[in-house]
Amino acid sequence: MNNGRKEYLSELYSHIADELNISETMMKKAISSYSAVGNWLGECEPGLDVKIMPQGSFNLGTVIKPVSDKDDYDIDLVCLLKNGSYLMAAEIKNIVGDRLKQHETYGEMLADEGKRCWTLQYDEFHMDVLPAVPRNKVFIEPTETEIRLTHKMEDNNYEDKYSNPYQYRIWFENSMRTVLDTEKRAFAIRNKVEISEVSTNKVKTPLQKAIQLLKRHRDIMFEKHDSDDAPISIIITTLATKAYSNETDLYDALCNIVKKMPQHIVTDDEGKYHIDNPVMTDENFADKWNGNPKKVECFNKWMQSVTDDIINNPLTMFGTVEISKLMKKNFGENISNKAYNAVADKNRVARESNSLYVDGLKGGITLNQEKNEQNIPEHTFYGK
Amino acid sequence: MVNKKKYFIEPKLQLIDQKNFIMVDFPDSEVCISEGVLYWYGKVKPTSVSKEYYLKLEYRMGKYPKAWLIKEVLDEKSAYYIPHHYEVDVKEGTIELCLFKPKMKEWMKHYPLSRTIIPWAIEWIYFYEIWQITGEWKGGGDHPTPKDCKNSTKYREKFDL
Repeated sequence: MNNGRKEYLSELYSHIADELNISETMMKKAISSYSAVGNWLGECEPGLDVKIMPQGSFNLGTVIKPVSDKDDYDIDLVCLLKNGSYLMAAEIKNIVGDRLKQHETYGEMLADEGKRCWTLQYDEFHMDVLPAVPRNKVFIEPTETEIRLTHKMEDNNYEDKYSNPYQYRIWFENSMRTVLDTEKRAFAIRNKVEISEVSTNKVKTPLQKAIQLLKRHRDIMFEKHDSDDAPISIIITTLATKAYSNETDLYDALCNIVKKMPQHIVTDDEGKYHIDNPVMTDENFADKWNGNPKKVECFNKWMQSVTDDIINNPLTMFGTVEISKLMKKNFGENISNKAYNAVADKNRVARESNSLYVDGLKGGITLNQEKNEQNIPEHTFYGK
Repeated sequence: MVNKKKYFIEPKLQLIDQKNFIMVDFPDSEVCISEGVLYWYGKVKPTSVSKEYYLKLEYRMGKYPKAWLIKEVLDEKSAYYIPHHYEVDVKEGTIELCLFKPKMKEWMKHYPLSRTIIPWAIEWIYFYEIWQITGEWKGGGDHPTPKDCKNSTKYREKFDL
C-alpha cells in the first residue's frame, strides 16, 4: 500500500475524531450536572449509601457529538444503592424515581419511565439514570463490582438484570494497555501531572478514535431510516475492542478492526447470535438480534458500508477533493470541514516557525525533514 | 534566508545559477533559459493523495519571478473567488499566483527560486485544495489595500511585476 496515502488518511481520520469529541465546556456542564443529581439522590436515605458513576461512552472516552444540533448528547449514569441488595426490582426503580420527582427542577425534567432508566432532559444532553444495587450484598472495587438492575416488562412487572460497568471499563483499558499507557504518559508530561491522575477519558488511543469514527458513520447512515435497528454502541465498542491489537497507527487500527469485528459474533447450537459481555457472559448484547432479523441485516449492511467508505474507497480515489466528498458523506460536512481546516492550520503554523517542508515535487508538504525535503521559508500570500 | 541582515549584501544569482539550483533541488523538472528568460515547468502534488498539477515559472533578471498554475479546469463563477492570485484565465485554465509580498523583501535576487518560489507555489496549491474543500483560505497572507486594487496596474508597474 502507498505509505503516503495511509499517513494522509490516518492524520485526517485522527482530526475528524478530534472534532467529534465532546467540548470541554459541555464535559464540565455534564459533570457538574451529574454530581448535583448524585448529591440529591445521595441525601434520600442515608442508610442506602448512594453512589453515582458514569458508564458507557462517557466513561470510556468514546463520546461523540450528535449529528444534528437539535439532538443531544447521551450521558449514562449508574445510581447504585450500595446497601440496597435486599430490595426488590420495583422498589429499586421507585426509590430513585420518587426521589427525583420530589425535586422541584428534576421533577419537571423527568421523562416518562424508561424500561431500565429514569431520564432527565437537560438543554443540550439527556441523562439516563440507571437504578441498581450490588448483585452480591456488597460493592467493593475492584473485585465485587457486579450490579443488579431492573427491567420493566410489557406487563408492567419488573425483572432483575445484571451488569458490570466497572469491570467492562477495566477490560476496555486492558485491551489497549500498551498504547493507553503511552498516551497517558504523554498527556502527563504535556500537562505536568502525575500519570496516575490521568483518567482514560482524557486521552485518545487509536481504538477510542476508531470507535468514535465507526459510531459517527453509524449515526449518519441510519439518520434517516432504520434508526431503531441501527447497530447499538455497546456492540460496536465490544466488537471493535475485541478486534483491536494495539496498532499505533489509526488507519492500521481501523483496517484490522473492521476486518475482524464480525469474527467476534458467535452463533450457538440453537442458531442464536451472541455478543456476550466480556466481563459477564450471562449478558448478551445481541439479545435483540434473536427474533429481529432486521437488526442483523442492518449490522451486516453497515459493516459492508464501513469497509467501502472508510477502508477501501479512500485508497483508490483520485485527488484530495474527491476524497473530501466521501469524508463529508461519511462523517458530515461540518465535522469534515473543521478537520481539514485544523490540519491546514497546523501546517500554516509550522511554516510560520520555519518547520514546514516540501518533499520533492510530488511527495507533498510535510512536517518531517528526513532526507532532501526542502524547507518552506516564511512568506506572505498576497493579492486579491 | 529571509531574515538576513540588510547590510550583508549577497551577490545576486545569475540565471544559470538559478537553473543549477533547480536542477539540484528538483531534478525531475524541466528548466531552460532562452533570450534572457528562465522558464521552468514542473508536475507537482501538494499532498501524497493529490492529483498532479502543472506549474510554470518565468524569471527575467531585474524583474520579479512569476508563477502560474496551468491546465486547470476552471469555471467563471468559482474562479472569481480564488484567493491570493493576480490574474485568472478561465478559458486557458491558468492562475497567476501571489506568493510573496514585494514590499517585505520576502524574495530577493540572491534567493534561489528552487528554495522560495517553487516550494511556495506547491504550498499555495495545498491551501487552494483546502479552499476548494472547506471554502476557507487557511494559508494566511495579506490583501492589497483598496487603493492598491484601484491602481492595480500602477501597482504592478511600480513593483515591476
